[in-house]
Amino acid sequence: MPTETLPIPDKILEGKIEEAFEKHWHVLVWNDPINLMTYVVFVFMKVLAFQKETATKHMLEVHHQGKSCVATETREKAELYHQQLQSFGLTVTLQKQE
Amino acid sequence: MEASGENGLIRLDFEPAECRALLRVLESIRQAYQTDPTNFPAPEAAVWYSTRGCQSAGLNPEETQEWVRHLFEFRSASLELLESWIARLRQTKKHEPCTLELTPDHAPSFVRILNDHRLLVAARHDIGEHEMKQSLFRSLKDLSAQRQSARFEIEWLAHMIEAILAALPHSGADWDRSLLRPESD
Repeated sequence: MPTETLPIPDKILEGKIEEAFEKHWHVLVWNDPINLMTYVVFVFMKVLAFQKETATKHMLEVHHQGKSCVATETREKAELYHQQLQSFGLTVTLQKQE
Repeated sequence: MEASGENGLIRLDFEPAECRALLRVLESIRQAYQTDPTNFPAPEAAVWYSTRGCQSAGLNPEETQEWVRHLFEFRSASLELLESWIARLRQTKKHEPCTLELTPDHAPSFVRILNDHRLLVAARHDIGEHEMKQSLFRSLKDLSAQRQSARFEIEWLAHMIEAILAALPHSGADWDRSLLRPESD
């Protein structure tokens, strides 16, 4: 009976895994004219599990400064936040910390 | 519309005209949630399926496509709930008020759906910062009839979202307004 061995990890796959756990990716939320401040606070509390005061602080940063860095995470986690925040209608980009 | 918390539910009471308008909004959103992202006009795709974040993350075209597909599937997952609300509103006779009751679990989805519609209407009718900075009635002077309707709808849904969040426990709706600096322009 032929024996099966585990496949040797693909170099590309290894690279992807390494990339996912790459640290220090900023999640930036940008201002827009439509989303309500109250709604943004709500989304920050729901998606990022912020307390109300932290959510308010970041919302006001978005409002007054045009953007706020709401999280700095591994790339994988940052991409998850990106998708979740954008699914609530916020404008989000990611930035690698330099 | 009045929103209140009762027996663990969020109760929304609508006037007859609001019932009809909300039904139209939910039916419009249902259609949009069923529309493939590739079939969206560019301005609307830019708000719902913006790939600006994908570009900033360095995603390649295939990864970006997959990312957009996930967003579409996330919206599609709300269709069953949407249908239940549409069915409830359709039961209401034309000139009668109506009520929707949302569980605390479903209220966030309802709010998100209304907000999605606001974003789409704004994109569709080019309602941006200039129009939103002015008071509603002042902004109407400069707008075409269609854009006036859009501006009204965006404002009306904003009122609804604020009211629902105020009735939803732990939503942060009571954030400290005294922290808001006056606009400098």
